[in-house]
Amino acid sequence: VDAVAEVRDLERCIGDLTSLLALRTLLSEHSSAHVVGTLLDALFGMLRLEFAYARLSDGVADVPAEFLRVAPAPEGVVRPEGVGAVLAPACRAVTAPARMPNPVGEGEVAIVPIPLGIEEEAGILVTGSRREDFPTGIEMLLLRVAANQAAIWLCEARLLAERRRNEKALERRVAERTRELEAANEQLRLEIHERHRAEAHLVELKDELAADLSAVTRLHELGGRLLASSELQSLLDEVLHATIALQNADFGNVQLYDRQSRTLEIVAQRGFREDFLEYFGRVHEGRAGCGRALQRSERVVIEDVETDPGFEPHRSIAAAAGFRGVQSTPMFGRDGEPLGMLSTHFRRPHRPSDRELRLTDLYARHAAEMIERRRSEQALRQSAEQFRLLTEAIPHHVWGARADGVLAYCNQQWRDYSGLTLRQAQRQGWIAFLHPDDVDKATTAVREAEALGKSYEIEGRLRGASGGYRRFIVRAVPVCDGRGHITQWFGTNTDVEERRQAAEALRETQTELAHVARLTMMGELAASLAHELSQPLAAVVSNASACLRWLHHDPPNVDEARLVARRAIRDATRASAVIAHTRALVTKASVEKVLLDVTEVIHEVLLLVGREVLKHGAVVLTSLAADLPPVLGARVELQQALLNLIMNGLEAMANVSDRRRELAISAQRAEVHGSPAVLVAVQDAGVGVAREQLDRLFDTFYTTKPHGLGLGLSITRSIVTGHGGRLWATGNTGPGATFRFLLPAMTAPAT
Amino acid sequence: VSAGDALVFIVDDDATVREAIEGLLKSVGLRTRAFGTAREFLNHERPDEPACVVLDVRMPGPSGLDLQGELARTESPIPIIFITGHGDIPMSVHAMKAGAVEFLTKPFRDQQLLDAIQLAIDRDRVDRRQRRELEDLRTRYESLTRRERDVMARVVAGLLNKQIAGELHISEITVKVHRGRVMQKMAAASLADLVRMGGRLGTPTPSH
Repeated sequence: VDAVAEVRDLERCIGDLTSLLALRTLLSEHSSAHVVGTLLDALFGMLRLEFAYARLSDGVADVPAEFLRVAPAPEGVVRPEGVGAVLAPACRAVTAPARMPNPVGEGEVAIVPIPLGIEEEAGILVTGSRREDFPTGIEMLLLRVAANQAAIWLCEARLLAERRRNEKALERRVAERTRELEAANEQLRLEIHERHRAEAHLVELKDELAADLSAVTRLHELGGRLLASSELQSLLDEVLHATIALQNADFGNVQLYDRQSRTLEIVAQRGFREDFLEYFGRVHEGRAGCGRALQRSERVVIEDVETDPGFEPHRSIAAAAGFRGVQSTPMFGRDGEPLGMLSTHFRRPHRPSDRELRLTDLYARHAAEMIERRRSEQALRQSAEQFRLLTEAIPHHVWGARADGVLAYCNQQWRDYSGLTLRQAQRQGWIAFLHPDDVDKATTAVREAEALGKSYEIEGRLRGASGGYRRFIVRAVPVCDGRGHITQWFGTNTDVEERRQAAEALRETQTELAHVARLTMMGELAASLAHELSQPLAAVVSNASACLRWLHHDPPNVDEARLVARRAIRDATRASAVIAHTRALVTKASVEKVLLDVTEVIHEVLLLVGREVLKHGAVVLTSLAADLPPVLGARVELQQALLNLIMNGLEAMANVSDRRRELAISAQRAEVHGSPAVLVAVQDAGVGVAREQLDRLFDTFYTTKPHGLGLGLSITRSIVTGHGGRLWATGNTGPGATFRFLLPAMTAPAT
Repeated sequence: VSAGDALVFIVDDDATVREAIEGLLKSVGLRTRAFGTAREFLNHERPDEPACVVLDVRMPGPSGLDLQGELARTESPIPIIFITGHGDIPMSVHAMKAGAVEFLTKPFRDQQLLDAIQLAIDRDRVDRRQRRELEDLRTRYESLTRRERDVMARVVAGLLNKQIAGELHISEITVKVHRGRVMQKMAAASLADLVRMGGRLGTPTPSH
């Protein structure tokens, strides 16, 4: 068996040796790191190792100089440097196999340090295994062969690398030298070129500066003349003259742009005859040179009209006028809109130089500014005139005043009303126009406005030319400077005399109507009162009569007489109670507010409306809380408010036939913001109120009834509001509407 | 006031007024019966004796005027004296036209009411007698044969026996016999008496 195993081991060893030797051809072109790595991998594959470690000497290795292969270690990566440090003392002391603690795991290992190259010149290879028999003779052989092979490869690799480094260094030096020479060459060439260019530029610059100086001098002179001349015409003539001189042109013209007709119109020219002026009197966009410049919003230069295809239709007129070259420079306003065109013409085909054109642009801009200034002056004059017309046309007094209140301007309406001239008014001062009773109020308001720098509005009477006063609303706004100081006032006076009179008339009518409504109600009350009184009075009369008759019997029946006399007294008392309750409703004295029991007020009103309830075939249901807090109020007014609501409810049910005409009146304790209050509700089963009517219900003169005045609910509302309460209406879930009012109550009990 | 054994009904929703009127009528020896609503009064069985009703116009439920209309439609109408707390002219005209005896506005004088009650009871007495007489007359008329009624209608219309015989295609003798029987059955004292009875009964005019 051993023989067979040995043969197999030998066979494998020979195979491994062949592999190791074969590696050489594969690795000849690679780096030392790659060579060592491959070698360690091969050894690891051939022998059952715990680790394989190699360290390469300086000069042999690239980085890294230490290499390690380990069987998979349980904890983390093992670094070659760490293992190297553990192995180093062992390697120095031992040249043959030895045992030592495992540097990459547990237990002990047998290690075999083998130098790479003679005297370790290339480095050292150390392999370790936990096996007891490591290394066997075959393994030792393999390791030695592998170490020798590695030493040879490494030396070869080192030589090869060195040769390559030398070659590269030479190449680099040659290339560097070549670049240096080239750069020197280029520098020289640039310097020569630059010198030429600078010389040419200097010459050019000198010419240009001289020309620019004269052109700018001309422009400056032009500017002076333009400022001096107020006429647009002479201004344009000057610009044209200067441009012709600048460009050394033979003719020229200036056109202004008409925004409405969108055409250019010649307004200044030099050197043209009538036929040309007539032909080009008005030029539309796109026509000839100037039209084209207008269309493109940029300068157009036509060097020769004979060769320019676009100019073909106008060649005959150009020939007649005697020009071949033309340029048109547009003038623009600040808003970018075209203002006009500055054109020059030449007898020979010609193109003005860039410098000339640049200066022409300056002239054109200058001219444009002048045109705009003239135009805005004109517009200002017009707007001032329009403002004057406007203030004269306005049917109010319009005025301006200085900061100290002295009148600075006033319109015709003001002068007509006051009958004074501006001078006279200035002498009198504004307070003189005020009604003496309004002076205090007005001066206070004005002073306040002055102090705050705010506008003011006063209503007051102003004296007219006739000496009579009319009521005006005076409104004025201050104009302030940058520091917030008032510099002047602008104001209007609006005549409100008629409006006020109308308002007063309306108020009077309302009062009258309210009076009528009250009278109507009083009539109703009187009828109701008569009914309420007639019942007990009838009883009184009958009882008294019966009494007399019993007394006239023979013998007199005193017992019966006494009985009916008592009844008569009782009924008379009832009648006087009715009167006493009603008196409160009709006497003015009772308007003063006293502590009231709302329940009592409701009972009083129910007594009054008894007849109406009957007449309407209605039933009144009451639900009045017994513990209501007292309310501070005017009895009559609250009665009237309740009366209105009840009458309203009855009328709402007048046409109801399919259900009981029930009017539910309730009073209960409530709270408003923690204070006691009384909530009274009058609920009818009538036609109800449309949602959109709910808001308007309480408006004066708003009514949904064919014969209503529209006063009842508005009076009711004003009464409730006058008591610090709130009145509102809601639609019922069923038919009808509910009116509720909430009155603040007192905490003290009613007396 | 001598109302005899008459009865006065009082209908008024106001208890004190009811009480006062009852007291007044009692002092003059009138019997009364009072009700708070028209409905109660209508539902009450009225005894067969001369009576009148003192009626308040305005009451909850059916009003006095409503009650007047209802009473007029019954077999035995009763004279009405209206009392009201707030009568207006159109209302009183309406009530009087509908046959009211009087329309008094509260408060009224006692004598006014008592006079009106006297008048009403007298009227009721007459009405009652006339109603009774008419009833008798009707009973007698009912006892006539058909032929006798034909003859009576023509006699009352003033036709001569001969004409009657012609119209009815019977002999004059037969007419005379029927005529005698009619006079006897109707208890007519004379021809004039019979004619009057015919008028009260509203006998139909003879048809051809």
